[in-house]
Amino acid sequence: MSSPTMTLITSQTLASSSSSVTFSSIPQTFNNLIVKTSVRSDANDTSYKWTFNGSSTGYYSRNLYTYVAAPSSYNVGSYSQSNASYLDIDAIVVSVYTGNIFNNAEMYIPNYTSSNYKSFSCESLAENNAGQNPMWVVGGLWQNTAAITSITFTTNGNNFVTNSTFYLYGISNS
Amino acid sequence: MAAGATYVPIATQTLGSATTTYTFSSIPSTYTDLILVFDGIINSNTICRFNGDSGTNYSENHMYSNNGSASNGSEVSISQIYIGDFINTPMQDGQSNTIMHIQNYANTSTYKSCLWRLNNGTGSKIQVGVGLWSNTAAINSILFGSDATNGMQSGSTITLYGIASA
Repeated sequence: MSSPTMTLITSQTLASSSSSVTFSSIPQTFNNLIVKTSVRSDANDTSYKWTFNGSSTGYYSRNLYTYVAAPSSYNVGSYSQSNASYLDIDAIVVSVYTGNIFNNAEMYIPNYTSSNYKSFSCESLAENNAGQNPMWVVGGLWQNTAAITSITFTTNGNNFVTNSTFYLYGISNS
Repeated sequence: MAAGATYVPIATQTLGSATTTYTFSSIPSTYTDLILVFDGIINSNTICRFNGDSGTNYSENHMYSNNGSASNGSEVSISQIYIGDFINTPMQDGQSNTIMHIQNYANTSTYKSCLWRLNNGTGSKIQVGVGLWSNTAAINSILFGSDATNGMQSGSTITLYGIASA
């Protein structure tokens, strides 16, 4: 019988605010990666940036979203990114949200060491119990054949607050 | 309480040539849930069946983004779950992945439901859906693939994982 997987590779919990976090030297011994974040911005960022291997080109994404603009005003929509310089993941918790609320995002990256382009799946949400409550469903592609060796998360000019967390897991298929 | 083994790879396959469908058979009933992960290219609609049942015992409900517009759809009494039914738009324009969760697959008293995500980053398509197989049998095989002949392309990988709750 195969061995259990979903191995924690590394994690970071911010002891002080920071504008970026990087997972570097990602081992090439797994098949898939799962990234989980729980973050909050100290300002009014509505999204945060994800990049692979420090690359600033080749990010494509399709986004399906919902949020509440005002009581009983529900919005559903869709948009895309094409050959962007970073992956723009929405539904970060911003400073106007109720205190102690952080976002909840998960990205699944199959075959991250392959020589194919890298496709991924991501969900990100920020339940606020007071309006907004954005939820984003993202499918995308990094149009690059390099194995993923690092992942960087960056705010849009502000900071992730203390106690924001970032987890990286590896999944094996044998 | 000691946790049981989880996210255990049950079987995996990398396609050496274009293939219509791939079947995971003799699935052990020792887990709580199953997760199927596909990474590759499918040149038509992506489909799924359980236990070789090709009767009209499936239904599904989904929402999707297609070239910037959000929409939804559903089908009832169909002979397979259409995981990626984008109004018959072929998915031939890029690498895609599909992640499918099948809950409580081994019980013999409830119909079997599943959740899936399908993502085609350059093909303007993502889809979120839920499917139902109206059968109480434990799932012991899963057919996954394309509704077009040889629609799954060489080099695509498909893996089945078992998830244990305890």
